[in-house]
Amino acid sequence: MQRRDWTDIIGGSLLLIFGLWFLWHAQNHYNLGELRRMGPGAFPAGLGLLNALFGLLILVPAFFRKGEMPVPAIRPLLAIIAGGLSFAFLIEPAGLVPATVALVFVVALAEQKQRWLRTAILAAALSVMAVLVFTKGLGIPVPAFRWWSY
Amino acid sequence: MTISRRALLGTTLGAPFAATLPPLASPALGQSQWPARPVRVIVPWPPGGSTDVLARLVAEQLSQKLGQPFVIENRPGAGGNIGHDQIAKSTPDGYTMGPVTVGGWSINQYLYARLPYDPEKDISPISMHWELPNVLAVPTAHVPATNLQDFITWAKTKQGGVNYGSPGVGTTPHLSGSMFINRLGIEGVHVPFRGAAQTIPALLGGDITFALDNLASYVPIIASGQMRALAVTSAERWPTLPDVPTMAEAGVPDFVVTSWCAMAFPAGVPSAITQRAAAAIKEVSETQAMQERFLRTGARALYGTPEQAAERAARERPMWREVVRISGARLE
Amino acid sequence: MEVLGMLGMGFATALTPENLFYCFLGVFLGTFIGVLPGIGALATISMLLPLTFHVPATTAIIMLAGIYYGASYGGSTASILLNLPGTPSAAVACLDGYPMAKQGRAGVALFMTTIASFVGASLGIVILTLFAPKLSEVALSFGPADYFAMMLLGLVAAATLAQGSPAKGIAMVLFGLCLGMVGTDVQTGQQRFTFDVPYLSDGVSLVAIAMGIFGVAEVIGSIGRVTNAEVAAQKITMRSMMPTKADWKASWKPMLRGTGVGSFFGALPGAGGTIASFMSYAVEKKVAKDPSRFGKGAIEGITAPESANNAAAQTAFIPTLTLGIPGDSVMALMLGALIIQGIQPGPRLMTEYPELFWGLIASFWLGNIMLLILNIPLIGLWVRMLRIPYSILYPAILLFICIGVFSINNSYFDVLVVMAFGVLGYVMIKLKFEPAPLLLGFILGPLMEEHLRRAMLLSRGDLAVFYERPISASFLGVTAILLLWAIYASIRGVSAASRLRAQAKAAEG
Repeated sequence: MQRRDWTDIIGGSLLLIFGLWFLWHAQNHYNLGELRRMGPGAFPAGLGLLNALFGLLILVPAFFRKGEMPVPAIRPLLAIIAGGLSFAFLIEPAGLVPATVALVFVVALAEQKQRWLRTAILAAALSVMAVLVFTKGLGIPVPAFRWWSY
Repeated sequence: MTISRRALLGTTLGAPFAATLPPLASPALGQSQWPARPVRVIVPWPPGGSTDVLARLVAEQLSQKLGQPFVIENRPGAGGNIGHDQIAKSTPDGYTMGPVTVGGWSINQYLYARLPYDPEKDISPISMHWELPNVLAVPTAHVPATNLQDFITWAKTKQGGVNYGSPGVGTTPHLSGSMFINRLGIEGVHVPFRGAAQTIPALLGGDITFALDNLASYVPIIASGQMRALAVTSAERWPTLPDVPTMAEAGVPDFVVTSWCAMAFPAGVPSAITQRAAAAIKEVSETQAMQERFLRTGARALYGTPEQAAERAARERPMWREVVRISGARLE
Repeated sequence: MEVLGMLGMGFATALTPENLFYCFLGVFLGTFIGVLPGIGALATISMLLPLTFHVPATTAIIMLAGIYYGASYGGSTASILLNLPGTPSAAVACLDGYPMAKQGRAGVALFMTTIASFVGASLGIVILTLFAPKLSEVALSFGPADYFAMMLLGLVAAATLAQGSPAKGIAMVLFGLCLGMVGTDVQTGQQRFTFDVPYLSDGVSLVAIAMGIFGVAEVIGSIGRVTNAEVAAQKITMRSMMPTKADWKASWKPMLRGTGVGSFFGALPGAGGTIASFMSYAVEKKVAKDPSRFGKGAIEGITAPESANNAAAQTAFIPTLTLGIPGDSVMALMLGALIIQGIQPGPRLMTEYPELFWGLIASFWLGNIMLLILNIPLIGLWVRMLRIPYSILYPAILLFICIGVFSINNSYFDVLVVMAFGVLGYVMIKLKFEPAPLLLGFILGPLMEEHLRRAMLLSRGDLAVFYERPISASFLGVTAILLLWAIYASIRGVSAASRLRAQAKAAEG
């Protein structure tokens, strides 16, 4: 237990900053227009202002109550995101099977203990399943392997 | 019942058998082997739209005719530009093609501040694919006019001006609507919607006065009498609305604005392949069944040579540049 | 009476062996793709479109419709089991369904959603049959100002979706509205918040956001924290899957309310099932005696939205069949299928093709019964899936998310978006923000802005339209009452809480 509610202090501040940035961006880049013909900036500017306001509303009271300090789990976060990215960047140039294998191996790093054999079996099984269900079964235009370039 | 099930099986099993049919063109050319593997058909619009449905109609026929699957891939976004760019940047080996609409050939270069591809250099037409006109539709309950001239007179005197709907900024309905009120000196406000499904209720509810929109979505509502068609923008009367005059017949000459689409390869595909593809498209599109099927969706199935399509794209560019300028539309 | 005779003819059409076969094929495929994340009815129907050229029109549309409502049936399964909304409208099922699954009540949750789907769909059909012309008139009388007022009401109601502080709930709605601004402005064509990325020009993909903030975030949060030992330890017997008497008692009213809400929203062109299910969740929370149970496995939290969603899937046919305009893109595709068959959908469909119209209606009924029979035996299978060790399950979940999202637009960029929203969703979990209000804000944001600006464009800048139009005025009135009530309730809540604290202190002392 902390002396202040850090969860809401962080959350409120992030919203406040985001809201102000949104308002600033909308005002500076898009035309606000007038009521008769509202410009593309009017609605976002209003939203940004309200966002900042509610950020403040969450932030201020949090200074006056006890709370927790949020602690993120970095390892699973990084591993899962990296797995998704490797899939995204392999699916078009290399095809479904390489993307699947890469995803399975990378996301397996999220766990403390590595069991390579099991991961390999899982990658193989999921590759077969993915090709059967998605490419063959549902006819999604992603080949198992992309042999030719485009 | 049994007949139709057999017909169904016929299509799913049809493709392998079709491979044994005699080839279309002379086998002497090396490229006459085309297609030797599946062909990707990149549709720059989401599934379900008319561009998608019409491409699927042709792709299915081509698969049967040429014995290789023509696989549709939808790459929607940015007014078709994402898909157009994908076609332009693919390997020019004849295994990637796609339907490119008039926007992609002749309008977007004037509308968008930047285009990722050059419509004159990066894509090359195979053959015309379809065209469909716009129709000037007004809600019967809210607009008294029964012909175009009455409507123009009525609109000019309407307090506060008229409102016209379109499926978005820079679409042919928007540009032709803008051209219409400018040409005739009508005071009007453009109200963009997200498609005819939104525009039609707004017309029926009396929120907007008229739309010069793609004809296809309006045929049933016109037939029901809830809307009145005052003119079509094609050069001749349209087969599914034979009683509706053309713009010229209704007293507004020089107002031929149709949406059209041509199949495209990336630039650099060997000419023999392009010729063969154009011949195949002609062969599947000229059949009675296909012509009727297209007409029912509101479009006319077209075919022809690559040169004809290129000529039309080039011919219409000055007109669209002018219309875009008048409308004041500018996209990023 | 006439209706009954027509319906009899409809059943005669729908009960032919061929139509039954295609109806089954449709609902089976629909359930299957509904369970798979990302793969929607839209993609499946467009792939099957060429197939339908070779069967009679009625048969074709019966099959395509089966896919459509089958998918909305299957969508909630992945939500309940894995916190993975198979379809956007199933995101609401995550809110209470996933907590139920964690408590070992996945079987009950799945069973009740199946029943609720059936109830919603069946009653939706009755409403469709009896009130189609009336409802389409109501839909037509909605102008831009009315839509805006209705959505404002929706957003205020959505603030109640959050479990914790209302301020955080509203903040998430607003944040969602901001995210909805990304893309091309419909009114001017201006690119907003796209930063020159062409993939963003049509906005952020709804499915990608839903998958990211629910699915991916949950996986990140779960690794190392949960083992599914607790779930696996429970025996799966038929008894444990069966809802208790209390579950039934708590569910029947919400199902009826959900059906009502869903039928209404389904009939409005462009509103659809997702908004319907969110709204009915908000309604349930408002009428509940103890709203704090929501989000922790309240059975009404899954049954009402599920009924709403499925009722909306039925009444969404109203604008399609009576006006010939599609309620959503799936409808547009089905219209396309009809048109290709040479049938003009529209006001005259009912009289010109009675056997098609009533055959379709009858097939909805039969299809829903098939779904019921198909899904109850599957429940045992789904629940057993939870016994798979998490270290094997989570790579599979992520893979399905990635493939599913990729397949929507064939775009690797959407996979990146899912991952970005996975990070955001994880940050939100850590900071105790709720994902559901964000999603609703995201859906409603662009619609609200469009309707507001369109209303102003048409009224030439006169704000009076909002209180001069009766529909808009009544929505705004209800919104005001809700707001006042919320303020009153929070004041009362604060004083009640301080009273409780005082009592607790007194007890300690």
